[in-house]
Amino acid sequence: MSLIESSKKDHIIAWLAALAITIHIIESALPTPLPGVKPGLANVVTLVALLLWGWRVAVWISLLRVLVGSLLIGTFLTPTFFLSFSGACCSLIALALAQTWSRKVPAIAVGPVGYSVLAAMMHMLGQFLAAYWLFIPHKALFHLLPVLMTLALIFGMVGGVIAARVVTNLNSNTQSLSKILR
Amino acid sequence: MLGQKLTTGDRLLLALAVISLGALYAVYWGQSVYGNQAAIAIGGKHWSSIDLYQDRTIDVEGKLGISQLEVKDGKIRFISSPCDTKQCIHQGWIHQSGEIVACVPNTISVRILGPDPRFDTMNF
Repeated sequence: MSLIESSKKDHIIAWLAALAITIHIIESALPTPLPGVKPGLANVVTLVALLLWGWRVAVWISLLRVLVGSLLIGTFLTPTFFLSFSGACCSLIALALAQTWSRKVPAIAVGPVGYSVLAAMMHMLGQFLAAYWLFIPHKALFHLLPVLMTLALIFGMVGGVIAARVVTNLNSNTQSLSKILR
Repeated sequence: MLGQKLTTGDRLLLALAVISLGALYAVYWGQSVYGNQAAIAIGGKHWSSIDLYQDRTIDVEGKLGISQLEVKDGKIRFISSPCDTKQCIHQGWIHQSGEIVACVPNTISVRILGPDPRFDTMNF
């Protein structure tokens, strides 16, 4: 008998968070041309969770990824962590708004690519503003913003296409899996 | 492949993203880094602000005597000064906002004014 009952949802969160953390760590080992720029493939996991199981699951996965990822890389409570954390918060808030919008107005509902682009750009904006307010309060930093946001748009689109693929495959090819996880 | 997966909401969001990107480029990259005015100071006190697109030479009287400044095509330089080292003349033209040229012995300094000073050790 266990003291804490774990639900099916807890298992989904744990599995997907582990996957996201793994991708996050692999990505952090990649060299980047600009600080703060990453393909954001770990966010694909968050997106899939959002599309299949809703916003709450996505929040858990995203925040667990930021927290555990930073603990494993060794950047917990360093500037990198705060940037990633503010980016994640920003993109989660934007995703919540977009999902509410999609439910209220199904005629122009947002799809995977839309969510992904929104999440990527808001993540970038969030971490950029955090960098500006907390670490480098100099106006010249804003000259970087257009480039960073363009990259976020591109990576967001790529991530969205991948997420859409993953979702359709999970829904069609592995009926049993999606039944278990749903 | 991408076209089939896009919903109307996606298209709207993408359009919005592209528009805001355009606005970002316009706001942060649109402005020229070239300043269009310069502030001249004598002995550390502001003396005059001048338009850099009005070509002329200006005589400024400092501690040692008269220094001549030349203004041309948005740039400014010292062309003569009564100092010994002529460092101010050797520095040549300056044009970017935040840039400074000074004749220290004659206590004259010229600073390019602009909406967004360039990132350097002086204005960090």
